Amino acid sequence: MPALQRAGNWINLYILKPIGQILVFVVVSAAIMSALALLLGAVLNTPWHGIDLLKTRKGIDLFNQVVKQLPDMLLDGISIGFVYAVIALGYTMVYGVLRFINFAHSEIFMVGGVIGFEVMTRLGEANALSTMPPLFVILLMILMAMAFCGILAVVIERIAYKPLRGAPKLVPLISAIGVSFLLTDVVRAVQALSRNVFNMPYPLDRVGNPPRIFDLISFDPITQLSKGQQFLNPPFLQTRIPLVGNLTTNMTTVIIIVSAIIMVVGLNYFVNATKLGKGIRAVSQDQTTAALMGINVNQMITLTFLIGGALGGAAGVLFGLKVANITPYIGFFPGLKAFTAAVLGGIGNITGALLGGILLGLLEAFFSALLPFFPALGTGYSDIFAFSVLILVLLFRPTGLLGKKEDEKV
Amino acid sequence: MIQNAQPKANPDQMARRSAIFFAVLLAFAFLLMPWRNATSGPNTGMGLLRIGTEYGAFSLLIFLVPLAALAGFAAGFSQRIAPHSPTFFQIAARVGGAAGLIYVAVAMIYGLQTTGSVGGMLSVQGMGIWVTLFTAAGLIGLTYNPNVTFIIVWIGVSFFFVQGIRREMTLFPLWSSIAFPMLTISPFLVLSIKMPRAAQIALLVLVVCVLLPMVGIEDTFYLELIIQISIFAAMAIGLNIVIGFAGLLDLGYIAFFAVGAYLWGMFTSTAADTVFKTSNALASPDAFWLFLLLGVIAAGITGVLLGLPVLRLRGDYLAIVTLGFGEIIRILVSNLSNISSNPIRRVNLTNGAQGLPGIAHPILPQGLYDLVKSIAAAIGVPLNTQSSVEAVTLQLFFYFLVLTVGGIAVIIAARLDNSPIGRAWTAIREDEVAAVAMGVPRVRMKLLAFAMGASFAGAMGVIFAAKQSFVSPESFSFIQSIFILVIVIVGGMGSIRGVLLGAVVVTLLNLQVLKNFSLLINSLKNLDWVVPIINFPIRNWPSQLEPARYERLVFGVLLIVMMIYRPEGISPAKRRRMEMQEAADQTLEEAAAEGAPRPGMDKIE
Repeated sequence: MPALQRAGNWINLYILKPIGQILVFVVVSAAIMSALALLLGAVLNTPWHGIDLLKTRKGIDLFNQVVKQLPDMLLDGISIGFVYAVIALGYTMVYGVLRFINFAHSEIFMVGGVIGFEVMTRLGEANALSTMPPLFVILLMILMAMAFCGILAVVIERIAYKPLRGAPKLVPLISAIGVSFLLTDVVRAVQALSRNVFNMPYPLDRVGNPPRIFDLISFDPITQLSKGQQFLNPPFLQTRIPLVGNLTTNMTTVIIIVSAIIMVVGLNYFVNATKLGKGIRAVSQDQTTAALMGINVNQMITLTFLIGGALGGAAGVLFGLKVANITPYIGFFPGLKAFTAAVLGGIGNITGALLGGILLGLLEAFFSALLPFFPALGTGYSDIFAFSVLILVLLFRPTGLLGKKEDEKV
Repeated sequence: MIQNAQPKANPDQMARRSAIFFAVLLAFAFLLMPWRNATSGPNTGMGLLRIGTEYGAFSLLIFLVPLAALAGFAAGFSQRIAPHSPTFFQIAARVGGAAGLIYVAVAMIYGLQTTGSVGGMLSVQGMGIWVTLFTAAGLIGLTYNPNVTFIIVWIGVSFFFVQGIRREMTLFPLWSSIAFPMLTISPFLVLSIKMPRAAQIALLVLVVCVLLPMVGIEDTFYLELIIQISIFAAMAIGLNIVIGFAGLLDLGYIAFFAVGAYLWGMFTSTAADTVFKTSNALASPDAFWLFLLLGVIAAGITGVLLGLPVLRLRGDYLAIVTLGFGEIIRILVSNLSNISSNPIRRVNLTNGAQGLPGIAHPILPQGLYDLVKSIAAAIGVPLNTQSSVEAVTLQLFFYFLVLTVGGIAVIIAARLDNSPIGRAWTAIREDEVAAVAMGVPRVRMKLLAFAMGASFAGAMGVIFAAKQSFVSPESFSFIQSIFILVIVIVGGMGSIRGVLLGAVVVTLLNLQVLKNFSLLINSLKNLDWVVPIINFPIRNWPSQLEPARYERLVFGVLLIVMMIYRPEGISPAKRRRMEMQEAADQTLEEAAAEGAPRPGMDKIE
C-alpha cells in the first residue's frame, strides 16, 4: 500500500526523526552536563586547592549535594532550556534571512508573557479560569500570544526595519534597540493605566480549580492569591507527574517541554517540507537569486518575522507559566540568554538554536543550584554565566557548535 | 573658519534666518507678560493688555534688544534682497518685522505713560545694565557683521528669559524648558554661524564660562544640569572615538565609567573596608588628581582587556559582546561586597547593591570659596549659609573641571581624527580587509580606539564619583550605555561638534524637558486647566503617564526616527556630508544596483 507507506515515511521524516534528534540532544547534553557537575562536585569537595573563592560552605558535602539535586537540576534546566530554544529560534530565523540581530525579539517575548497574563487574568475575572479545561486555557493563552506577537513582529519589521534594508548593519541594529526600549515602556504604560501595577503575577493556582463558594462573590486574583486562598483541589499545574522510578515532576514542566517540542517539530516541518518554507530557505541563501526565481522576497521576510514573533510570544507564555510573574523588564535577560543560545548553536541554524538553548538552560540550572554552596560567590553571579559563555563561544568558535563558516566577501 | 568681516550672505539664507528670528520674537511678545503677572497674582493677563504695569515694563526692556536687531536686518534686506522677487521667507520676514516694530512701539508708549521715565523702566529688576550692554553690543556688531548681531541678540534674549522666569510661576516648567535649552544651544549657533574667529571665541567663553555659571549660581538645578551635560558630552566624545571614528559599536561603554567611579569610590568611601582591612578611607582627598590619572589608566587598560578578545568579531556580534561585558561589570560591582568564604574575614570592595556612600571630594583652597561668595553677592544672589557657599563652590569647581577635561578630550579627539591614527581608523571602519591589505595595523589600531574611548569615560567616572559622593550599580546600567549611544547617534557619529550638540540636546531632554513636562502637567492640574479645542480637562490626565518616567520610550522613538530619517545625525561629520552629496549625484537606480550604502552613513561593521 503506497499511500500508507508514504504516510509512514512522512511521519518518520517530519515527526519521528526531529523528535529523535531532540531526544538525542537532550540526553547527550544532560549526560555531559551531569558528568561535569559530578566531576566538579568531586574535585571541589575538599578545599585542597586553597582558592578562597572556590571554598564551599562549612559542613557541606558538595558531591552529595550534586547527586541529590541532579534530577531537579536536569528537569529545571531542560524546561528552561526549551524556552530559550524557542526564543532562540526567533533570533536565528531572522538572522538567517536578513543577517540582522533582531534586538527587539526579547521584548516581543516579554509581550507574549504579558498577553498570556492578560488572557489568564481576564478569564479569571470572568470566573472562567476554574471551570474551563486547564489545557484549553493554556492552549488559548499560547495561541493568543502567538497571534498577537506574530503580528506585532510583522508591524515592527514594516515600520522600523524595512526602510533600513540595505543600510549598513549597525543602522537596523540601533533601530531595533530603539524598538525594544519603546516596547518596554509601552507595555509599562498600558499596564500602569489598566492595572496600576507593573508586576503581572499569573493566577496559576486558579487553573482548573473551582474556588470555594464564598470566594466567588468577589475574587480578585492578584490580591487574594497572596493571602493564601484555599482551593478545593491541589492546583492543576502543580500536579505531580511520575517519571522514571520515584522521580516526579510537575505539570508546568511537562507542558513547557511538550509544547516546545510541538513547536520545534512544527517549525521543522514548515521550513523543510512546505513550499513557503522552501521560499524562506531560498531567501536566506541568496536574496537576489531567490527573487529571480520568482520568490517574493518581501513576503518571505514578513513570514519569517511572523513565525519568529509567534514563537517568541509562545515562549513568553511558557516562561510566564514557569516563573509565574512577569514585568515589562523581564525580556532583557532571557532574550540575551536566548541570543547566546542561538550563537552557541550557530546562528542562522534552527537545529543549532535548539541545541544551544538546551545546553544553556542546563548550564543555568546547574549554576543557580550550585552557586549558593560557594559563599564567596553567591547567587548574584548566576546571570554572568550567559555572557561568559557568549564571549567564550565567540572567541573560540564564532560559528557556533553547528554553524558553518561564512566566507567574508571582499 | 574664514576670517571675513563682511561675509557674503546668501539672501535667501539670511531671509530665512531672520524670519525664524522674528517668529521667535513674536512668540516672546505673547509669552513675556504672563510670567511676570504670575508673581504678583492670578495668571489672567494677555501680553499686550498688561504692558502698562510695572511688570510689563520688564518685558518692554527686552524688546529694546530686538529693536536694534530689527533695524540691522531691515537695513540688510533693503540692500541685499531687493533685486530678487520676494520669496515666502522674505515676505514672512517683512511681515514679522513690521509686526514686531508695531508691538514694540505700542509697548513703549504704554510703558512711558505708566512708569513716567525711561530711567525708571531700565532699573526694574536691575536688568537695565545688562540690557544696555547687550543692546550696545548688538549695535556694534550690526555695523560690521549682522551674524554677530543675531547671535548676541539670541544669547541676550535667552539669558534674560532664563533670568526672568521664577519657580513660583505656574508655567515655569514650560518657560524653563524653552529658555534654558535656548541658552545652552547658543554656543553651537556661535560655531555654526560665520563670523570672525575672535568674536566666536569671545562669545563661546561668555556663554560657557560666564552666563551659564551665573544662571547656575542663581538656581542650582541649572548648575547640576550643565555639569551633567558636560560629563555626558565628554563621555560621548570618548564613545565617538570607538563608534564614530573606528566603527566599533560598543553597547557597554558605561562599564569604563564605572571603573573610574569605583576606583575613586573604593579608596575613599566610608563604607568599604577594603582589601587592606582598615576602617578608614584608604586614600586622602588630596590624592584626587593622582586618581584622576589612575582612572584614565585603569579604564584604558580595561578597554584593552575588552578589546583583545573581541577584535575578531564582526559588528553586530561585537555589539552584543560589549553589552555583555557592560553587564558583567555591573553584576561584578553589585556582588563584590563579600569575596571570602570565611564570614569573619569578610572583604567588602563595593558594598554591593547599596553602593558606596561618603566618597571624598578634593579639598579646595579657602580663597575659592571666598571668591564664589563675592561673585554671588555681586550678581545679586547672596549665599547666606556656609553650607550653600561650599555646595555651590564645589559644584562650580566640578563644572570647570569637567569643562577642562572635556576640552582636553575634544582637542585630543580632533587631533586624532586628522592624524595618521585617525585615518587608519577611518580605513578600518570603511573596509577592514582593504585596510589590512594596505598595511594598517588592525589589532593595534582597534585596541587604541578602545583604550582611548575608555580612558575618557574613566576620567569622567572619577569626577562623577567625587561629585556625587555616592555611587551604586544602578548608575551603570544598560540604559546608561544606551543613553550615551543616543547622544552620539542623535548628534552625528564621527562629528565632534555633533556629539557635543547631541549631549546638550539629549541630556536636556532627559533631565530637564521630560521632568518639566511632568511638573507642568501637575501645575496645570492644580489650576484645573482645560485643553482648549479638544475640551480635555487636564486633571483627567492619568498620573501613571508622567513623562519623566518614560525616558525609554522617548529614546526608543528617537533612535528609530533618527535611523530612518537621518542616520547621519543632526550635525554630521564632514566626510559623511560629502558622501551624502556624492550619493545624491548618483541616480537612485545606480545606487540600488550597486548595493551602495545609504547616503550619509558609513559602512560600520
